[in-house]
Order: sequence, then structure tokens, then C-alpha cells
Amino acid sequence: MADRLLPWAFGAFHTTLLLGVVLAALQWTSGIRTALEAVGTEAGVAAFVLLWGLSWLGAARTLRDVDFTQPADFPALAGRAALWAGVTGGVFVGVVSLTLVLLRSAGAAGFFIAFLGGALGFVAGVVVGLFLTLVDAALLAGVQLAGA
Amino acid sequence: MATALGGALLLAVLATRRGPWMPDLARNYEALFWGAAGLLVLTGVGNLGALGVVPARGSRWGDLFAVKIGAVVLLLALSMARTMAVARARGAPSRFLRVAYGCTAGLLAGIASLGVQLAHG
Repeated sequence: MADRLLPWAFGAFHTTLLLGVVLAALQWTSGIRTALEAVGTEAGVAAFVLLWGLSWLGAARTLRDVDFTQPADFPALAGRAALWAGVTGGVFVGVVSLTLVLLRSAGAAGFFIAFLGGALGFVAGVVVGLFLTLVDAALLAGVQLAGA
Repeated sequence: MATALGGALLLAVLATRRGPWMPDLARNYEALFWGAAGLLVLTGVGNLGALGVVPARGSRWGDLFAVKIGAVVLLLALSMARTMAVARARGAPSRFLRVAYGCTAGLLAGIASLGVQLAHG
């Protein structure tokens, strides 16, 4: 059960944490209303579910063959996490961009923009993935210090 | 919310009792918790957008909302640590897990209370 539990947990944790941080930042800049009105309920739900699913898959790929009770090769694991976070970001932004392109019938230029969006999403995903890996490592260090 | 809070309370009680621990129960709770957490965050933000009423920063309502977001982020971090402890657990629950389940239940109750206060303006 633990092998399937951790990818599920990490996928949900990363997705909800990201949304929480984004909300906190929007509340700080008083931009929540504008952002929510721009996204819409159905689109927001679809985007969240997409990101959650992709995060779950990325965590599963990252943690494949990892025994959580044993010390891990952190640099290798962090590299794998960053790669799959990049894939998650690239696919997420790519799908969202492509959806907007198709909805607005933007033509060939639109597809190029969607591709570019996916590439930028990959880079953003790598950066976010590295940050989340540090958060996860800090939490695990805390768990180990607590003797659990 | 009922699943997450009720499960945390149950496991907090079980973890403090002398007697056999049920690791499968804890793992099942963790899996359910993360599903519930995702749904709670999703529906919480969805309600915010659908109702079209956003707490203004600097107002009492806005301050309560900021506290709620902070509490949710804290709960998520604590819960990930708790899940990792469950995944690593062998045998009886550690002191960390006993405390973690209690704190989880407390935080969930607090967040629910903040939600009620926000809903009533």
C-alpha cells in the first residue's frame, strides 16, 4: 500500500499546496476576484483536475523503485523529480494553451503559441519541481528528526 | 471534511491506546485524506469564485480568510509529514504520529470553524 500511497499523497499535496500559495499571493495583491472571474468555475475545475492527475503521474514516475524506509540518493531523486515536474508543467500549460487556441480558432500561429506555452511550462515546472523537492526533503528531515 | 476530521480523531484515539496498532487503517486513512483534501481545496476555491464575493484585504473578513489559507497550508505540510511517517512506520505508532493525528484533527476543526465564520460574514 505504501508504494501507491506516496505518489497519490505527493500528487495531491503538491497540487493543493501550489493552489494555496497562489491564492495567498493573489489575496496579498488583492487580485483574487480578477483571477477567479478570468478563469471561470468549469475551466478552473478542469484545470485543477488535470494538474492533480499529472502531478500524481509525475510523482509515481519519480518514486518508482524508491524505498522510503531507506536512505535515498538525493541528487538523483531531485533530478528525477525536476524532470517529471517539468513534464507535468509542460503538458499542463500545453493542454491549457491548446484548448484556448482551439476555442478561439487561432490558426497555425496559435498552435505555435501553444507549443511555446508548453515549453515555458516545462521550464516553470522544473523550477517549481525543485522548490517542491526541497519542501518534501525538509518535511522528511523533520519526520526523521522526530524519530518517526 | 467528515472523512478527514472523523478519521483523524479516530486514529488519534487509537494511536494513544495500548494495544495492537492498525497500520492498514492508517494507510487507508492517508489515501482517503488526500482525496478529501484535494476535493476540499477544489470546492473551496470553486465556492469563492461561484459566489463572487471575495474578502477584501485589510478587512476583518479578509484577515480571517488569510488566516484560513495559512491554516490550510500548515495542515497540508503537517499531513504530508504524517503520511511519510505512516509510509515508514514499522510496528507501533511513533510519538510523532500520535501528535500528528491530534494536530490534524485540531487544525481541521479550526479550519471548519473559520469557514463557518466566513460564511456568516
